Amino acid sequence: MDKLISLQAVQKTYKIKGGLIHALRGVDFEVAQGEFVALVGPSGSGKSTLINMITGIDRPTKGEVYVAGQRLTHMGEDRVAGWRGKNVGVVFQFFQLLPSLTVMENVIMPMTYAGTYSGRRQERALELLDLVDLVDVADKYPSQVSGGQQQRAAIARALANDPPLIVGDEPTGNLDSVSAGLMFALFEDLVAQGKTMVMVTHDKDLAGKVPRVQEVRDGLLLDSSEVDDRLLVRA
Amino acid sequence: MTSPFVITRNLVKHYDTPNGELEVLRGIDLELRRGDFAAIVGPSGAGKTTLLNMITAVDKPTRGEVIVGDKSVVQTPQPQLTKWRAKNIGIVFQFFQLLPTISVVDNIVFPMDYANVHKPAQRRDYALSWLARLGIEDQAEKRPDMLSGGQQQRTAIARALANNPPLIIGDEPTANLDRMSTENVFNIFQELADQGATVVITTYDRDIVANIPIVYELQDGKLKEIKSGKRMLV
Amino acid sequence: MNRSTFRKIWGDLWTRKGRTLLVSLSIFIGVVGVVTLITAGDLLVKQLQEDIQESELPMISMFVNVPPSVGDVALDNQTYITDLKAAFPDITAAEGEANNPVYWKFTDEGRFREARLFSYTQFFPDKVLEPMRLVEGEYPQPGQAQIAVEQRMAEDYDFEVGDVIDLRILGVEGIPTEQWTISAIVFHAYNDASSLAMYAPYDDAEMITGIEGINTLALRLTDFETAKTSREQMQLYWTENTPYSALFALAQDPAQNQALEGTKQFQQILSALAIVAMLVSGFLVLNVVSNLVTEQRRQIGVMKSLGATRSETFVIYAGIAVSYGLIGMIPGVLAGIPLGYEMAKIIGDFANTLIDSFEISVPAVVLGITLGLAVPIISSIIPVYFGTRVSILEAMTDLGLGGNYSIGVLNRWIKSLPLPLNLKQSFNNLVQKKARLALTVITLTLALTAFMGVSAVFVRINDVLQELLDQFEFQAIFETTESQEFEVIEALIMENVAGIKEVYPGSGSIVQLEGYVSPQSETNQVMVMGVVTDRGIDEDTFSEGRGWLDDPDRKGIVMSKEITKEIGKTVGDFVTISANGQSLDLEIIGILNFPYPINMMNWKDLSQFTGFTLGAPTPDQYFTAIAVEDYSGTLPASRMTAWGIGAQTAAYIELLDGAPLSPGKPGVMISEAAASNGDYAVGDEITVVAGACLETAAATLVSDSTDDCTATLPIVGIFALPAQMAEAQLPPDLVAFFWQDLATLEGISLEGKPVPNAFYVLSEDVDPNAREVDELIDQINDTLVDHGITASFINMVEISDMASDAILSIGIILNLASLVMAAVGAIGLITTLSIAVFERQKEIGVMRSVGAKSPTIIVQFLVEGVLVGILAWIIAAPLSVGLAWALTEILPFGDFIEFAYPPILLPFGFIGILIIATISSVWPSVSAARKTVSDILRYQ
Repeated sequence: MDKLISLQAVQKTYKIKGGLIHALRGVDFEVAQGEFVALVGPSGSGKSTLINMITGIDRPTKGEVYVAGQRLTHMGEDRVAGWRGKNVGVVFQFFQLLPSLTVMENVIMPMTYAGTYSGRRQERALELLDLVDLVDVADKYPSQVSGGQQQRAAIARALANDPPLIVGDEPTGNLDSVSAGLMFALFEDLVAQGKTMVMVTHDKDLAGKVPRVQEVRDGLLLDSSEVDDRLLVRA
Repeated sequence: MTSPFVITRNLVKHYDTPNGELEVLRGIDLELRRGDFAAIVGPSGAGKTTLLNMITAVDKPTRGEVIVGDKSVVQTPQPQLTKWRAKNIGIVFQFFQLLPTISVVDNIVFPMDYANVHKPAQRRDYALSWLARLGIEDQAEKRPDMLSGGQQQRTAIARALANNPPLIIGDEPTANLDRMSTENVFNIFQELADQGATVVITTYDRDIVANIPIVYELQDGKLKEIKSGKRMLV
Repeated sequence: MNRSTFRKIWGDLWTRKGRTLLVSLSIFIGVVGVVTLITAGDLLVKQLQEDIQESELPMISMFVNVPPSVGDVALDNQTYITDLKAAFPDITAAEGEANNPVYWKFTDEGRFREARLFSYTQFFPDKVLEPMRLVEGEYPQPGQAQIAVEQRMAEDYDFEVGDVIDLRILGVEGIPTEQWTISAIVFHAYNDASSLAMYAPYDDAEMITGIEGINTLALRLTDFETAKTSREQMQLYWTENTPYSALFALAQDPAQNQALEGTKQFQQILSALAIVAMLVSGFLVLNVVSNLVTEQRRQIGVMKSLGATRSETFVIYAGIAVSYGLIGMIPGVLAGIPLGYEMAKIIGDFANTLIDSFEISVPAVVLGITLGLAVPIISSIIPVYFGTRVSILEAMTDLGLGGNYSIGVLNRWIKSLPLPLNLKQSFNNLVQKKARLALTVITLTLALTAFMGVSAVFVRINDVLQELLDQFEFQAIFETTESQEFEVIEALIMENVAGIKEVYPGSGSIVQLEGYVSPQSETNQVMVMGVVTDRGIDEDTFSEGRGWLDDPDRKGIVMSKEITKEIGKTVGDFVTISANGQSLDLEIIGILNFPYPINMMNWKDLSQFTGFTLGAPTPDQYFTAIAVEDYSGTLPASRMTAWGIGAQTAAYIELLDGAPLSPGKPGVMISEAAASNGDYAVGDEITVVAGACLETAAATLVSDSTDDCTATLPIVGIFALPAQMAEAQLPPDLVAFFWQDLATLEGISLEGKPVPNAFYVLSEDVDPNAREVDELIDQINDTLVDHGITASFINMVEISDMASDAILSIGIILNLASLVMAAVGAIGLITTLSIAVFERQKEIGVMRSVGAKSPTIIVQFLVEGVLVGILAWIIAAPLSVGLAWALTEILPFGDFIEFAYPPILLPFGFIGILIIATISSVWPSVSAARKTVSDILRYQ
């Protein structure tokens, strides 16, 4: 299949004391290689769950998930972790750099886990940091750099193993508008180089710049024509 | 005209960061009266939470004055503010901040116990009635980690209202709610405002403030009135 | 306090059941430790205080015996005691005790068993010193074939009043077996050998054991000072005025009874350890509560914003701490009460005390409750005070993962180390929470120090004991009840018992050493071992000098280091020892490396000196054959009977002519018959041949007057045969000499031939076990008894085993406290790591998101746990050496042991801590790895 991401009839139900939560109620979703998609929707709509399906962080109760040629549906945690390290770069809303490692060590981390670039990890890390203009803080610990710099470091980390897919969960949510803009430009650059990008966002302006916007509501995907303006915010 | 209930005068707040000084609030003047229902909009990171923290006396300004009711919040030492705040300000935090080891209804009774508001025997029933109004009475005995985001947010709102405070502050109080629930919450706020409370909320979502009488915009550290709406004119 | 306070406390306890259980468990362990150990000590001391009355204790215990050189003599103990009391009016009580082996069995059994038979110069209920208590039945009456049995022995063998057992009657010709009835069961608290103790009236006992005389004289005077100063004189008096010899005497202040003092010391040590164990669990609570308030920073802020003042928040967290205390303390006290009672009973066995009825030690319970509550409260005060100080703003500002991460020098240094990322993370994380790290390390260190320190002491004691016992290559020792010549015994045994490689003689005595004061007994009495000088002593044994290694016949004494240090002498110097009123100067020819104050001499020299001789002639009863040149009388071959007499007899014998023998002047007296048969008159000279010369001479005399055993002596008097001798129908040809002169003439020593008072048995089997040695002993005993010789035996292997067991048991008991601490330390580590896991969930989630698999995560936490363990060991190792040294100083038998730290403990402790750290880290690490990313990141 030529689609990088393919979700087929995916359902996700959580069991909690006192009932069931239907986070996803039967979702069909496809993303081709090189696409740039924004997922929008209110909290509880299921968009976080959807993203988690794509990254393998979560597994569907029913249905099939294929990403980057791999069937994730019944894979064990450890195998998924290993696959994810090589195939998906995840950028979180709150950066989530490991505070006990320097910026450069954080970028090297995924390479260590995946066993890639052996012997030239430092070199590659510096290349990536150069890409995001962070070479001069490579040796600093995350608590010693600004929020914008941390987020850029997170992106460099996401690119460590040159994954085909990059997933961002509100990647610019905690940045000021200038930094947010710079970040977005970087994303566009990566897509232009052939990477696939799926991004969750509340930011209407941002969503407006993304070629494809997919709305999620109540565990289902809405037809793009039904995108509700009220869900988006003018920056 | 009634006198203002919440006043800020030339409120300034700076932070020291590794990259230099950050000016979040650059001189905010605000006046709200009893019965006002106001929203402050602005992008994330603009300083909305900071401004609220000034009003709730959770944080202190670098310069300026904050008066709530007859209390100068800036000049009152923290320990004296604890009980006063509990009785007078109901806060809905951005990330709910429910106590995870007690049940939903116990979370709502908590501020009543500590502010010593309402008769002890009636506190639980009162809590349940709020839960009912917010549509989550069936979650009463559950612990917060068993609820969805939206349900947790509604619990947080109920808790803020438990002591019938004259000032209600909500930091993105409906961010996790669907449209119906959001409308419900705003109706409750309006009702409370009609009964004389002052309600101030913040949001990034400009579209939901359509029905809120007073709207300010916070941008680049300054406050701009967008909608002056209904104000109590007596 | 309001309902919400309780709900919050309860909610926290219930939601984190695991942590609640862990912390409460550690308090439980601490409280159980406290209550158990203090109860045990308390009950023991109370029992001893009940059983042992100060007024019933003797002040002097004199160990006496009748030296074999005295021979057969009638003993009148009552008179001797009365005389002693008259000579020393300060004596308020004097009682003699005979304690000898007795052989008994159940009627239907084949084999006899050995026990000890006690009898007293006073009838049992009349004993004032160390009395016994009649538990059941009636005291045995003399001549009624009745005996009494001590309660502990009765319990061991299930005796009841009225039971009949077989006894071997050693004092009767033919050694018959008789049936005796148990007429009473007694409780004798003062008897150390209670589990083997039987009692009989004095005369019955003499008959049963075949041994006459007492072996201990217990004395009490008006006060202890008088007793101390009179001790030597009383010893001397007893030796000079009775047939007995007072070998040595111990002065013991009743006010400071050894057993009681020793037990009290033991109790104090137990209590100290228990309290330290409790303190260690206090550290755990500190750790946990500190983590709790850190973890709940946000909640504290929220609660403040909801109206809870700082002190109200304080109450909440203190309440949680108190709850941990209650949950742990109540079962802890309940469990400790019966455990303490059981432990008291077990230790009681060692201390020869009988703890009968169940009792609750109130001080132990009170202390348990107090500590169980106080420790968590006090431990939590500081962390809760600081934790609740956080402002609402601080508490609720979420700065993502690394918000509170502080970078210091250590981090920069770690950055530069060439370590894998995993390890760098571990190091950095450890360094981050310095306070928590410190607390965990302290907890583990304390536990490890206590464990290694206490173990060190006991391993060392055991080693020393084994070293000591190894010095002696023999497996059994026995003493014959009556002195026997060594060759006789040796022949008997070697001919009749298989499996024996060698029997060799020895002796042992207590003598007085001039100029020495023993630190233990405050007297100048020392123990001297008589050894066979050409065997069994290694070169290594000597720290100076070479003893008999080069010359087994050398005269001299070998002394222990301790003693020579005390008297300030060394090899080549002379010392004076005295015993039995005699003194001897000896050269120090070697100094021993023993950790025990013991000395060695050639056994023959020692036996000679202490009067352990056989065959010394007894004046007036000394008859021997001699030949007189040119005499023919009643006996053939010129034989006459020589009579060795004492000074008194010489002075008072009925003379028919001449004068009595006079000391210093050579001469003999002859009997009337001899005078008439030989036609001798006063003034004539006769040539006497005796001893060895008698053999070499032919039937007729050929004398060589230059021989020592020939003498030409003038007749100084002619005497009438004393009546008894005439009646006895001895050949009337007698020549009377002073007995010393006769002995010299005969060439026998005035003192007689030295006999050993102990025989050492070396088995052919190089390393037999206790049972095998028992069998050998049985065979030896059978052989001896068949020849009319009785003996008492010591199985050295059994003793060494028992001593090892006893030492190790005590060691284990003391180590219980440190095991408690080790358990608490492990719990501390588990808790710390669990909390770390909980705190770093987001981190774990992130690691997984970028590709980390379970092993990576497990390893990270494992490494952190192990690093903490290693750090604890590094600190604990030197500390435990210090503790071991301190313990060796305090413990009573520590005086004998030179401090040494067994090096094996260091790697042992290291491995132990690695195991604890690994096990403690496994559960949190695995649970960390098991959390799926979605669990963690769900409500981001």
